[in-house]
Amino acid sequence: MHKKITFLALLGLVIIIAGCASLKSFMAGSTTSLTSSSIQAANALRAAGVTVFGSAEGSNWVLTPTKISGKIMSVVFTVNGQEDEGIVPFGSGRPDIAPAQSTLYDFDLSNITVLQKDTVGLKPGYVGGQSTQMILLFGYFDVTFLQGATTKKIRFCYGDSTPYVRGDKLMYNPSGEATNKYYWYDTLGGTFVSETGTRPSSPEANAFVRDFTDPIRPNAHYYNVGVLLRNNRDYDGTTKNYISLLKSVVDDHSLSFRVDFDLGNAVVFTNVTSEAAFNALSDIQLLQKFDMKQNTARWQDTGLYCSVSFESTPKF
Amino acid sequence: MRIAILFFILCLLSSISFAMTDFVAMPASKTLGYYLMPPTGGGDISSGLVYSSRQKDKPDFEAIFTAYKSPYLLTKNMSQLILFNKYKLLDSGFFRFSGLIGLGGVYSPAVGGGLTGNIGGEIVLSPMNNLKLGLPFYVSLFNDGMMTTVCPQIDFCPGAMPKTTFFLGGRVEASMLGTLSSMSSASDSGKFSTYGIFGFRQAI
Repeated sequence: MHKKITFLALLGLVIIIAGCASLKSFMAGSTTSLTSSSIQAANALRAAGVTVFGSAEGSNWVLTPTKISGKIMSVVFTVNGQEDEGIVPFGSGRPDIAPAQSTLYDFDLSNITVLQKDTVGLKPGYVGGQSTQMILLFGYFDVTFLQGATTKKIRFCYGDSTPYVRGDKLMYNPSGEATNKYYWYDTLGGTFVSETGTRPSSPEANAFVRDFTDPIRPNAHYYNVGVLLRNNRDYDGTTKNYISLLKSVVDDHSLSFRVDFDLGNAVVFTNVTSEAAFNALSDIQLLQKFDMKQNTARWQDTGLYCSVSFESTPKF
Repeated sequence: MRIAILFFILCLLSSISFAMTDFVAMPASKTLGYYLMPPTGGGDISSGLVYSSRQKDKPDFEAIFTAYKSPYLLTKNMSQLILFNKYKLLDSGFFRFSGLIGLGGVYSPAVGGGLTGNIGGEIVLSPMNNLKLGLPFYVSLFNDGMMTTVCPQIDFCPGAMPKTTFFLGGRVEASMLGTLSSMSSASDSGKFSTYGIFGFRQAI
């Protein structure tokens, strides 16, 4: 009995004391900064009175937005171009199985958004290698752009996040509607529907993003935005078209990634071939023809690039 | 975390008696050992000391010190010290199961340190007097997560060296942040490390 009491006393002591130490302080952590110097450069020109024109690209009209903000869920650096290989410097540690309504975080690429993660998990057996591509999982983009002298904004949904469904496109303040709201365009009823109302059964949407399926995770709730890396500053200070994410560089290190997206001409309006035709589009047409350049198959040159400045500092 | 603690409490309360255990493949009351842990994926070797003590009418005592990424027991990396009491819960001679409970601490000069609570168990098979197969496992509780450690190993005392045993095996460490519910939703992250382990114990 005496031993049992001693044991229980010890157990109680352990439970009381347990937790005085922090586990995450002994694990790798990271800071990820997201920005777009191309958006900022275009805005600087606009501020100086210079008109930044769009341009024709094939049968489409492309332009540089004035702002892309929104909600992000997770950031992934792939390793060696393989599925399920990589590290997650920000967000859900398993974005591939992230459920709908996952936690989303604000970002604004027209400024610098700093995202911090206390720990970077490494899968069992992680060896690491070269990363040439990022996969980003967003809740949605709010893309602001100029149509002539008029500012327009479209919400482009990359994930299932109430009240939105992946692929939805919404217009902010469409002509003739109450202001300060986003609206779906009901393709059956032919009317705008406020996001505070019930989502129409068939809103205007991007079919590619809506119907995207991952071969390994067919029930993925978030579209994988693929971005190719180029002109990166690797951890050793050299410039490469990849960054080195070897285990020895990642494990027990404080990591810093500064990601600069090249979003020049990243906004696409399909089947529009001139400035005049673009400026003549109605709000409904803008919504219907709106797309982002990177919405093509993963693992290929998506047309979206970024430059990453990577720093790795030993934690111990 | 609460579920894990409750599970161990129930397991340990269900025991009928506590008694002395012997856990080293030689009849010595006190031993001091040194071990090396090469990571299976390559990289810096870790090292450690292990002190064991058996006394009549008292639980076995074992102190385990691990210096990560250094073979010299001094490291700028994480160091971990755990002081375990061992309570025999089942013993059939060939098979023994003991409960482990102890206080511990982790420290690194760069990030500081703190205390941990540690609970677990140890399964020992004794096919021969000088050969034992052991499977200690324990959970180190932090304020923001837990680290589970499992160390399958063979402990052998050669006839020519009756006061020395050699052990060989592996060590698996799984660190997970957050509560059990957040782990299951994959909203937090962790770390998984595997090592080989080999060393010796000397009777003192």
